Amino acid sequence: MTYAIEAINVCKYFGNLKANDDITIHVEKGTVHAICGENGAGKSTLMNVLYGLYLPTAGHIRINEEDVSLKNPKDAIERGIGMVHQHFMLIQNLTIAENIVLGQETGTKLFLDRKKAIKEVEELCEKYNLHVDPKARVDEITVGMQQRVEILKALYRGVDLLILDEPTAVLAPQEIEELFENIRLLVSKGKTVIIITHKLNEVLEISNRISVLRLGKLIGTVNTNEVDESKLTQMMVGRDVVLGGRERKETIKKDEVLKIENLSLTKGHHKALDEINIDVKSGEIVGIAGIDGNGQSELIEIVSGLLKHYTGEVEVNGENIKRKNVRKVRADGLGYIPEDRHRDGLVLDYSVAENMILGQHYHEPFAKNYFLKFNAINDFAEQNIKDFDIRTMSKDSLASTLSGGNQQKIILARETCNKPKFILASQPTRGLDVGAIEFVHNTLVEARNNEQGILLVSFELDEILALCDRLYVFHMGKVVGELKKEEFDVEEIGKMMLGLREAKANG
Amino acid sequence: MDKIKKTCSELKMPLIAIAFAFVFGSLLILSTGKNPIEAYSALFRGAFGSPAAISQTLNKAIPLIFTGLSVSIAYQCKSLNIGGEGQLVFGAFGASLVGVYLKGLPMLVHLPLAILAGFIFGGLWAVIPGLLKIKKDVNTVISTIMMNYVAFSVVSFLINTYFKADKSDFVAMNWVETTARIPFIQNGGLRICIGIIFAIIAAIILRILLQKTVLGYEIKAVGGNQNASNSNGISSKKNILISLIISGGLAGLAGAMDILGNSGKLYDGYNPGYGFDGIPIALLAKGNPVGVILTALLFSVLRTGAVTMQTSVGVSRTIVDAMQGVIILFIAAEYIFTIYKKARLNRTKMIEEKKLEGAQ
Repeated sequence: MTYAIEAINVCKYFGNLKANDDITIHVEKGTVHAICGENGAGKSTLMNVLYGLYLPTAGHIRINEEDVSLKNPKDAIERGIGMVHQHFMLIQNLTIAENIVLGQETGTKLFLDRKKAIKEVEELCEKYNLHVDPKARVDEITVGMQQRVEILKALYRGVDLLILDEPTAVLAPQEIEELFENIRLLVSKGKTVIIITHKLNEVLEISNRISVLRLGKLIGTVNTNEVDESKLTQMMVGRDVVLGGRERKETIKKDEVLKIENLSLTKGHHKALDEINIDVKSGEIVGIAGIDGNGQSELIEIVSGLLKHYTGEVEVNGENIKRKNVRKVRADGLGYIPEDRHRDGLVLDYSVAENMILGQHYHEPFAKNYFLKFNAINDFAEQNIKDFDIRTMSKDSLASTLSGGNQQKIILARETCNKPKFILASQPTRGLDVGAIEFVHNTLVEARNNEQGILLVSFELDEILALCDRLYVFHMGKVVGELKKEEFDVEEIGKMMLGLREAKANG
Repeated sequence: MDKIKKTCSELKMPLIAIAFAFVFGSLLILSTGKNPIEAYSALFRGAFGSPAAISQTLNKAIPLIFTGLSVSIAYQCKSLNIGGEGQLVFGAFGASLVGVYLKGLPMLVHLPLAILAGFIFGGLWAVIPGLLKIKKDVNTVISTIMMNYVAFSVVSFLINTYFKADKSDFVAMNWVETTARIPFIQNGGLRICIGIIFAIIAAIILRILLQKTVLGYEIKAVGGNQNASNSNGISSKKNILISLIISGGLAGLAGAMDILGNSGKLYDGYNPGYGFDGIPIALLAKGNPVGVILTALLFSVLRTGAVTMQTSVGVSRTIVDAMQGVIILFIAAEYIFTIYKKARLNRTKMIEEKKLEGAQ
C-alpha cells in the first residue's frame, strides 16, 4: 500500500495553545480518509499544515513517500494537493470557466482565449462527470454548484489529492448525495480525498478510514467498517455520550400547561396554521415533528406571546394569552428557548450576567424601585455559571465571546432555573456539538421528571423520538398525526411529514 | 484592573483622532506660512488665557454638553437623532414662552418651570419621529433631520405672528423675565453661568439612568438586539420612543440654557448649530455621558480659542472646522470598521453554526 500524504509527528502551537500535538496520520492512495473531531479539535489546523498555509512547529510531511517541506500553498499545489475551503474562494462576477482557469489562463499575455478555456472546462466536466455551465456567472449559481466549481478548479490544476474542509456544511441533502457520488467517482479514477467533517453519519457513509482528533491530539485512526456511530462519538468526546436524557421517571400528567383549540393563522393568502388542536400536560415532553416551514415557527411565535392576530384559543397554564403581552405570559410560568439564540435569545453585547436576567430584570430580586440590584444579579449569575457549567472567563465577559454551546447554556439557565410550569423549546440543540446536546437533553428530561411540561419543536426527528413522550406531526400548517411513545415509527412519521398519509384517528 | 484596561482601550481611538486633528491642523497652518506652535498657543490662550476666556469656554460648553447627551441617549438605543437642532429650537421657544409670559413668580419657581418647559417642548418635538418610527418604521435619521426644517419654520411663524415682541428692531420675542434668567457666578473677571452645573448634573443623572436602572438596561438591550428584547418581554417600541423623548428633551434643554442663560431673548431665525455639534461630540465620547462633558469642552475650547488665534496670529479660524472634520472622519472610519468587523464575525459564526447543524 502506498501513501499519498503522511503527517509525521506534526505539532502546531499558537503561543500556549497546542492546536496540533504530535499527530501522525498516513493517508492511503485512492481512498477517502476522514478527519473527525469536535469544534476546536484541530482539524482545520492540520489541513492548513498539509496545504502549506501553516508551517508545523515540529514534525514533517511526506508526499508520495517523500519528505517535503511546504512553504506555501503554491508548493502544495505543485505537488498535486488541492483544497476546497469551506468558504469558497471564487470571484463572484466572473464566469465559471474564468474562475476555473484563473491563474493558469490560456492565450497570450494580454488576452484570455475564452473559447479554449470553455472547451477545456467542458472536457474536464465530461471526464469527471461534474456538470456545470462554463458560461454561467458564479453569482448566479447555487452553493452546491459553486462547490463543484471549486473541485473542478483543483482538478484543472491536476491535483491527485483533494482536501475538502466541511464540504457538506452548506449543502441540502440531495446535494450531499451528489457530492458523495462525485467523490466516489474521483476515487475510482485514482484520486485521493481527505474530508474534514463532524457529521458522523456522513463519515460512515463515504470514508474508508477515519482519524479522530480531540483537543489537538490524535485519538486514533480506524477502518470505517470496524466502527459505528457510538464508538466514534466516544472517541470524539472522550466519554460515553447518551443522548435523549438520563433516567425518565414515572410522572403524573395532570395539569394542562398548554391547550390549543382550533388555532388558525392566515399569512398573506395561505393558512400558516389550520385548525390546530394541541395539548401539553405537566410531566411530559411533547414533540412537534415536521419539515421546516410547515407552521412551526408561527406556532412558537403565538405561544410565546409575540404574535396576536390568530383565531382560536391558546391557553398557557390555564389562562388565555390573547390579551397578555409577552412579559405577562412569561411571568405566569413560561420558559422559552428560542430557535435562533443570536436573534431572539441573547444580547451579544451584554455580559453573561446581564443576559442571565434578560426578561426577569424588572422584578425582585434583580430590581427594586426602578433600580437594578447588582448584588443579586451577580450572585444569580455566578450560581448559574456553576450549576450549568458555563465556560466563560467571568460573569462580566460579553456573551459574544462564548462558544455556541455555552451561549445556549445561558439561555437554558435563564429559562429553566426558576422552574416554570411550561417550557417552550424550539430547536434547542441547533448548531451545538455533541457534548452540549447531551447537556440540553438532560436538562429537558430533568424538567420533565420535575413535573414541568415541555413542548419541543425540532427538525431533527431523532431528537424528538429520543426525548418525547408524545408527538404531533405538522404538515402544511395542519396536525396530520398524533402518536404516543409506544407507537413511534420512523417510517410512518416520515411519510406523515411529507404529507403522504394521515394517521389513523387518534385519541 | 480590567476596568482600567477597558477604559484605556476605549480612550485610544478618540485620543488618536484628536492627535491627528492637531497634526492635520499644523499642516494647514504651515501651508499658510504661519507657525503652528504659535497658532496653537494663541488658541489655548484664547480658551484659557484669562478669567474671561475661561468663562467663555465653560459657558459655550453648556449647550454642547446637553446636545451631546441628547445624541448619546438615542445612540444607546441605536437610533441616530440628527434632529437635535430642531428640538433645541423648540426647547428654546418653550423656555421663552414660560420665561416671557409667566410673570410675578419667584425665581425658585419661575426658572425651574422655564427649564422644564424647554425639556418638554424639545421632547414633544421628538415624539413625532418617534411615533413614525414605531408605527410606520420610518428611519429616524431621515425623519429627525426633516423635522429640523419644520421646527425652524414653525417657530419662525410663531415668533412672527402670535409671540412677536411689542417693540423691537428685530423680529423677536420679548425679553425673558429676570426671574427666569439663569444666574452667573461673578468673581473678578470670571463670569460663569451656573448652567454648567446643570449640565454636569444632567450628565451624571444620565449615567446613572443608563448604568443602574431598569429603564437603562432595557434601552441598551433594545439597542443591542431588538428581537431578543421583544422575545423576552422588553418592548422595543416603548423603549425607542422613550429614548427619543429623553433625547429631544435634552436637546430642548440646550436651547433653554442658551436663551435663559446666554441671550435672554429668542430672535427669529435662531439656530445656533449646537444640535448638529452634538453628533460628533456624542460619537467621540462613544455615547458615554461623562465622556460627553470632556468632548463638549474640547469642542468649546477649539471654538473659543479660534477667535484669538485669528486675531493675534492671523490664522483663519476655519482651520478649527477642518480639525473637527478630521475628528469626525476618524470616528466615522472606526464606526465603519467595527460594523465591517462585526459583519465578518457574524458571517463566520453563521457558517460555523451551519456546519455544526445536524452534526451528530
